[in-house]
Amino acid sequence: MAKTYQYCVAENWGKGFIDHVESQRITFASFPGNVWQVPAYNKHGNLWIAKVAGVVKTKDEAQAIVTAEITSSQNAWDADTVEGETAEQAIERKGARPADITLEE
Amino acid sequence: MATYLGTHGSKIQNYTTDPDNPNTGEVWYNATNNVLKFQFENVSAAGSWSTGGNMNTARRQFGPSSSGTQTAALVFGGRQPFMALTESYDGTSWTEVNDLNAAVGQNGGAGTQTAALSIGGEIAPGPSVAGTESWNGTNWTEVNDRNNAVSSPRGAGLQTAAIAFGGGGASALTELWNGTNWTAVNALNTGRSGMGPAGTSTSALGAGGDTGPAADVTITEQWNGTNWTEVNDLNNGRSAMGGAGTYPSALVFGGTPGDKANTEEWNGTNWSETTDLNTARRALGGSGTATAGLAFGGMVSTSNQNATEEWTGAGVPIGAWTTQPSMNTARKSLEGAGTSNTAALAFGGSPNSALTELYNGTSWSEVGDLTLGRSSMGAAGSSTAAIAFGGSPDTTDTETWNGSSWTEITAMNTARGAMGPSMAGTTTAVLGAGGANGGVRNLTEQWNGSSWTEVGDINTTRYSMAGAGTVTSALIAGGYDNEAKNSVETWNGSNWTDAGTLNTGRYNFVGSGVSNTSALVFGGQPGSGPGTGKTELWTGSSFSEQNDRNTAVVGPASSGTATSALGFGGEGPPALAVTESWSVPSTTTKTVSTD
Repeated sequence: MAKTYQYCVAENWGKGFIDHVESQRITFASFPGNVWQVPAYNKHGNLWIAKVAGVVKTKDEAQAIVTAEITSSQNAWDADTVEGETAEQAIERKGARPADITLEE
Repeated sequence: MATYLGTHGSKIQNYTTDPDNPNTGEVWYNATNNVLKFQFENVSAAGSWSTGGNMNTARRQFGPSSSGTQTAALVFGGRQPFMALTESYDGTSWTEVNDLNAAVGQNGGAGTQTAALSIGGEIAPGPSVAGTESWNGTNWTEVNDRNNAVSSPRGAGLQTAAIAFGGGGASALTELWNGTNWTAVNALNTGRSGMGPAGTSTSALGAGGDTGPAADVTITEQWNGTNWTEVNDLNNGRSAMGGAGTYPSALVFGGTPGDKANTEEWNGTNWSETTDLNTARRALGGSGTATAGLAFGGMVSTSNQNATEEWTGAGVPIGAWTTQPSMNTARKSLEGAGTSNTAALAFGGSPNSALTELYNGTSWSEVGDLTLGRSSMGAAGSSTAAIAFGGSPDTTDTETWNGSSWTEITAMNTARGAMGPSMAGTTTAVLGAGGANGGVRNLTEQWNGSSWTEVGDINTTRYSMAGAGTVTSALIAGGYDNEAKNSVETWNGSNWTDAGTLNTGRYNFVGSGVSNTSALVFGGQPGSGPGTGKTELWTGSSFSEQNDRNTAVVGPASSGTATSALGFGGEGPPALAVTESWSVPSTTTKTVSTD
C-alpha cells in the first residue's frame, strides 16, 4: 500500500518553524517526542522537512518514539496520586490518562 | 437595488478576446466562446496556523488576555506546578514580566496585554479561590474577590468590564466585573467547565465544555448582557479549548478528549470546521480575533507546552506573476532599478553592454547608455534616480542616472561584481555586499553620496546572491561559493546576522523589497541544472514559497517591492527580453458557469 504520510523528528523553534503558506499547502500533525507528520510524496512536505532539518523516520521508527513518550506519560500519570482521591477527582485534577497513539501509514 | 452599471460605470461589454488588463470585479461577454467572464481577486480560501514564538515557561490551565491581539498578548499563572509567572507577547517573542502576587493555576483571564484581569482558579490542588488580580501593564494588584470561588472559570471582556462564567464541578455561575466589584448574574443554562470563550461582558460566547469527567459536549450559549441563550452546537464535542474573537465572529481551537487540533469558526449563526492547529493539545489559551488569532501553551499527553500558533483567516491576498511587454534587447546579467512594477530601469548586461531601457508600465524605450558597458553590477534607486556600481569585467566604476543620462562618480574601493545590493537604496545611500573578483569576497561597502566606506563583512562569502532593503535594513539570500547557498543574512545598519534559509538554495537570482522584513526573491539557478521560476517571500523570519514565474530564468534584473515587483531579462538560455510583473493582490479571470 502506498504511504499516505511521512514522518520526521524536528524541534519546534517557534516563529517561522511552520509559516502560513506551508500550513495552507499541507496538513501538519505533531506527536509526542517532537515527531511531525506531513504528506508523503509531496514536494511541499519534503521542502518543509529540509527547512527544519528534520530527521526523517520510517513510520515504525516514529511509532517507537511516540510509544515510548506515551508510555512514560502514562507511568507518570499513574504515579501521580492523592490519597482519598476518587477516579473522577483524579481526572478533574490531572486530565484523562494519556491514550495510546497509533500512527497511520 | 444597485446595478452593475451603477457600481462599475459601464454596461457589460462584448469582446472577441478577453481584455488585456480587466479590473477586479469587471464582467464581460466573450463572444468567441459564448461565455460570461469576470475578474476575481486571488485570496486564500481557508485560514491557516503558523508557529509563533515559544513561551519561556511551558504551562497549561492559565489565564490568557482574552481581549489581547495576535501581536500583543499576556499569559499569567498556570500549572504544573502552580505558578505566578507572567509573560508578554509582542508578535515575535514572549518576555517574562512581573509575577502575579499569588501562584495560581486554572485561573480565568480577561483584558489586554497592558490591562488584564486574573480571575479565581486554584492556589494548590484542591480548594478553589475567588481572588482577583488586576494588571496595569507593569504590576499585578490584588482587587476585590469574586462572590464565588470557582476553579477554571472562563473569562471575556476587558480589565474594567469583564465576565466570568462556568468552571470546575460543572459550574453554571456567571459574574460580571465593573472594574471594582463582581456581581452574580444569571447563570448558564448548562453548567460546564472548559468552554471555548469569546466576546465581551455584554456579548459573549461559551462553546462546548464538559458537564463532568469525560462528558464533553457540543453545547454553545450566547450571553447578551442579561441572559444566556442556547445557539447552534459545535461540530465536535470537546472541552479545555482556547478561544478568540467576538460573539458574531469567533474561533475555538484544540481541546480534549485526547489532544485535539480541531479549529472551528463561528459566523454568528453556525460553527464550521476549518484548518487544524499544527500541534494538537488541550488546556491552552487564546487571544486575538477570528481573523488574527493566537493559541498558546496547553498540554500534550502529560507534557506542558510552550508552543504558540498564529491564526490568519481566509481572504489573504495572494500574489501572482503576469507577462508584460518585453524589453527591446534581450540580455543576461543585466541590472535594474525602480520602486514598483510600473516604473523600472534596465541597464548593462553580458557581454559588456551599456544599453539602458526605461519601462513606464506599458512599454520599454531605449534611453541614454551607461558610460561603462558591463554586466553583473550592483544597483539601486528608481527609474529617475539610479546608481550602478562595480560589475564585470572587474571594476570599481560607479555611475548615477538622473532620469536622462549616466554620470561617473567616485569609484568603489574594491573592484568586484555579482554583489548583493540593497535594492531599495538610493543614489546617496546604498550597500554592496560580497561578490567576486577572481576570488569570492565577504566585504561590504556603503555609499553615502560622496564616498564608499567598508563596513561589516557578511558572515558567509558568496556572490550572485539576491539582495533587498536599504543601508539601515537589508537582506541577502542564497548565492554561490563552490555550491548554491540557501542561507540568509540580515543587515541592521551595522552588522550582518544569520537569519534563516531559502526553501530552494540558488544563485544568479534577484530580490526586491524595502527592508530586512519585507523582500521577494525569484528566478535563479538551484544547481548545475536548468533555471527556475521559483518565487519566495520573506516577512522577517522565514521565506515562504509563492506562485512561480511563468518563465524560468537565470540572472534576471528586478525593480520594486515585495508586493509590486518587475522581473526582466536574464537567460533561459538563450538571453531573454521577457518581462513579468508581480502583484499582491493579484487577479484571475473566471468563467461564469450556468450548468
